[in-house]
Amino acid sequence: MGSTPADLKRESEYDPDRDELAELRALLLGQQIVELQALQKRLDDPNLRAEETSQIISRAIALSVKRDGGMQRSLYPVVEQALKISVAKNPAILATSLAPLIGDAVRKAVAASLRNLTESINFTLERSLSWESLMWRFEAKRTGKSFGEIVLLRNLRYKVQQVVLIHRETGSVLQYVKAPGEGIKEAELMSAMLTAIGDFMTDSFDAKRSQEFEEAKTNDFFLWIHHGPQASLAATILGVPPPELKNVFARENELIHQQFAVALATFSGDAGIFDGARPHLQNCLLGQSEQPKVSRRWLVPVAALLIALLIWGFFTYRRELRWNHYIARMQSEPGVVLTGWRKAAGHYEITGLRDPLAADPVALASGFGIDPARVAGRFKPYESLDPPFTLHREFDAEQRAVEQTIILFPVNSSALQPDQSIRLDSLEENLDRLQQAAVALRRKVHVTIFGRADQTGAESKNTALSKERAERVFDALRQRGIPPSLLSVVGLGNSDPIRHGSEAYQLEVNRSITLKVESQPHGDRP
Amino acid sequence: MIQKKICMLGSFGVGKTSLVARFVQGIYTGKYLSTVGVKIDKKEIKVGDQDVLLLLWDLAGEDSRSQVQVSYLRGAAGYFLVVDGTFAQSLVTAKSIRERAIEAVGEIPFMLIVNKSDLWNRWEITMPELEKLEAEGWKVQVTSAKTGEGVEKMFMTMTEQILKNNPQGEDDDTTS
Repeated sequence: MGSTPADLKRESEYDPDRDELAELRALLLGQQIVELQALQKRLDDPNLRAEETSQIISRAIALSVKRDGGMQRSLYPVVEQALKISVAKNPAILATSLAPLIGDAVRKAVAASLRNLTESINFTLERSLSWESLMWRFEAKRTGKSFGEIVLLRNLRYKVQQVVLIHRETGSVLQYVKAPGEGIKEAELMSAMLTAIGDFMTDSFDAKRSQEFEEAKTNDFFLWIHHGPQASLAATILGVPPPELKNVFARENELIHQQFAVALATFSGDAGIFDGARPHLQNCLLGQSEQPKVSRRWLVPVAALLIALLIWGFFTYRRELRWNHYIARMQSEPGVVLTGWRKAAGHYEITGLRDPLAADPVALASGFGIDPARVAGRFKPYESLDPPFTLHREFDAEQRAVEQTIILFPVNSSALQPDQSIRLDSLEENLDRLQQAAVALRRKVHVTIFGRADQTGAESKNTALSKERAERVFDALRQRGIPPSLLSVVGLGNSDPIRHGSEAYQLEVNRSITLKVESQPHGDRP
Repeated sequence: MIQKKICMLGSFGVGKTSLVARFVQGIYTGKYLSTVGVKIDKKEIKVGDQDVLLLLWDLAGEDSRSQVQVSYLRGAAGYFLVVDGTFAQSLVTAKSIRERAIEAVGEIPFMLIVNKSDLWNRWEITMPELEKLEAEGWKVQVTSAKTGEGVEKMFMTMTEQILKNNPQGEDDDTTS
């Protein structure tokens, strides 16, 4: 190849006018002209250019791929067209190349679906005749959902606690969701560790192809992993998950792969792009756990203890309340002065002063729900100055005065003697004050005048005489202003002598009247 | 927050696990290393404005009977080759691991970590050797898991290198 300066000289001989110029050019630029012409030839000759390009094109593609990935996008339609043409022209070539891959993929898919089918059959047989499953079938008919969906919704034997979307290549967490109240400590570490375990199995079993770690089981948990081409869905499940659940994981993972195909292929550590995959993961959070029932066993003794405590607290509180009410009442009880009270070991002791007229504090305890047998009262007597007590004492004093009064009569006579009038006067005063005290105490009072005769004389006459004597006193008191309704008369004759015997002084006392006071609380206050 | 996987590679007993332990708090115990051959810890660091979650894969050490399982390198954004300054053979091992790593994952950022700087007076690896490697383009960092010297720095340098190698945002146009 290559032209020499001599050749150039020969070519330029056709143009005699330019001989000199050409000669000069050849002399000055000889070598460069040869090189220029060679360059031109390289540019013009398609064969040569093709040969040269073929040497650098692979390096150029590699550089472009490394720089911005633009090459893939530019080549994509070309490759697609080329594949189409290739398949149209000779399908055998592609088929032959794909055969080992397809065979593997199909075998895997068939094996997986057969395994699912077997599990599904077992599961279905296990529950097909149960009442529960009949209800599920009925619900499926009614709602138009598939039986499988109802099973997933209603099965109470498992719960998907958390779902992690893992980038297969790096083991990075792309997205993570968990059921409320559940959760693992470190989703990132768990995810990386799962990837490492998958690698570990591949290495350990010296497998030709990478081994897929799909399931692990502990006493309580299942770990299920569905592997897609770029990303895996790993889920921890409490209880016994139904086989249908695997289909859910597969479906959601496929959807994620469709939606995030490019992002998955070019993932370089930024998981934020995969926020949109969250709903797919949430669709996998199925099931309800029966676990709470198990974990609530401890509630029974605790609840029993709480109830016992509540009951004990209620009774203690009520006893305390009753005791406080009782003490408060005793402190204001007329005629009672409490100086001390204490309780110990379910027994009570109250000490203080008590007017004999006052109610018995111990007996009153029962009115407050306190057993009087548990109350010991130690009281010293005193006289209360409370108005009810002074009135009581007055009433009692007047009653005593009235009942001690005796009015004497001469033998065989019912005439009031002048020497007895002073007694009548004081009797009248006593009756007046008795009445006033009774009104203040709201008591009803009645006084009976008993007439007597001595044991001499006929009994029939004595009865009349005794009644006459009583009536004389009745009349005399009426005249002095005592209301007749207060009084009544009885003639005792000689049937109930004050003194027995026939001595003169004994007989004298029996020719008399005495009085008896009866009182009772007023009708409106029984 | 972006996540990056980084592997610790090297001979048995050069201090890979101690270096990681200096840097992180993890949930896995050492028994994972002897059973699965890897222990994973994580650490969040900030480089510039970028929060990065480092997932540190601490691989079981290589000795005469077993080789480092370079398959664990898959998906790694970078790796450390850890050697023991007081043990010249560990550098030889590191070089052979490096070759196998290139076979497995190609050229990704890596650093040579020469550990045990606290035992400087007993070093078998010489400065000229390290300078020669640096001249070949290796990044070299001297550390001590015992005193903490260089530990923080080795992880920071690695992360910076990774981010420079594959800056964020490059793939934005492909994530539509």
